[in-house]
Amino acid sequence: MRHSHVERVLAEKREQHPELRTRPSWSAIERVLQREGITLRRCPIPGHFGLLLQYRGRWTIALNTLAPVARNLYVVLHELAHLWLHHSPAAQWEPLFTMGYDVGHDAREDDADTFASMVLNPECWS
Amino acid sequence: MGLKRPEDRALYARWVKAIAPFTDGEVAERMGMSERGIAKLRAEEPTRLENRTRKLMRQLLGEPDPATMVRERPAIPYAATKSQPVLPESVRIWIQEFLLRLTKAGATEDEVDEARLLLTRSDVLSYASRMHDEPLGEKERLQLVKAIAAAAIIPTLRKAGRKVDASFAR
Repeated sequence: MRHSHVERVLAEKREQHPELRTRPSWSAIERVLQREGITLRRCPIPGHFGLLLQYRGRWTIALNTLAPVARNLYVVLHELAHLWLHHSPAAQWEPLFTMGYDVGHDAREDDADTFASMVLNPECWS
Repeated sequence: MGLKRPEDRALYARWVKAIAPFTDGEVAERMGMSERGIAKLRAEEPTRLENRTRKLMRQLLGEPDPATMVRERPAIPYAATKSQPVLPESVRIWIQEFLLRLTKAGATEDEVDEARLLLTRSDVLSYASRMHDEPLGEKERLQLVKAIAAAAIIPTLRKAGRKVDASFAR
């Protein structure tokens, strides 16, 4: 059920961003971010590979400079998935800040992982 | 016949006593009422007090008007008002100093409020790719808050023309 939702959103996004139709390069992802108006920043972020932040209506994906660079593509796609799958424009803040460390499992994390996996390994999902 | 409400009777009695040393004209001037109205009120206790008259009497007596008084809410234990874990003191101090810097740099109230919201709720960021599930220590949490300020808040405000010093978030 959730996979079908992820697949549907990915199909829509592939129409907007042809870069996502095959495994994207880093420069291709940068083009997607630019088109979406999302800023990418790099800084040390303890305990996190990346963050998706909204301030004054602008979205930023922050990548941890202390984390392995090889994960960056996956992290960006994971955060993009949260924005495209879970963010409700009507509830500006709520969807961003509902989980704490004590919440062991959140299906939205699975969605975001599935989305990133579908983009990076399309052959596994066809 | 007199006033029906006990509180009005008591108010009227205090008022009559308070104005006793003064002429009708002096009281009228002080209360913003007509001299004739004061004379009539003083001569005989009315059957009811107009809201305005009641208010003017209270003002003259220096008493607060219950209609405009703000009732304090019953105290709620601080912990019960917070749905999120309390931030460490060093993090709270840094956030307050940062918000003060934003204000001094010309940030609007909305910009400062939104920055506060983003920073104080950074403990429960859900859309974050976590490297491990253990809660961060105090030093790491401070670093996380600084990272959020450096990544999202400072660049946005600088783009909007606010002269925010980026070095504070390093």
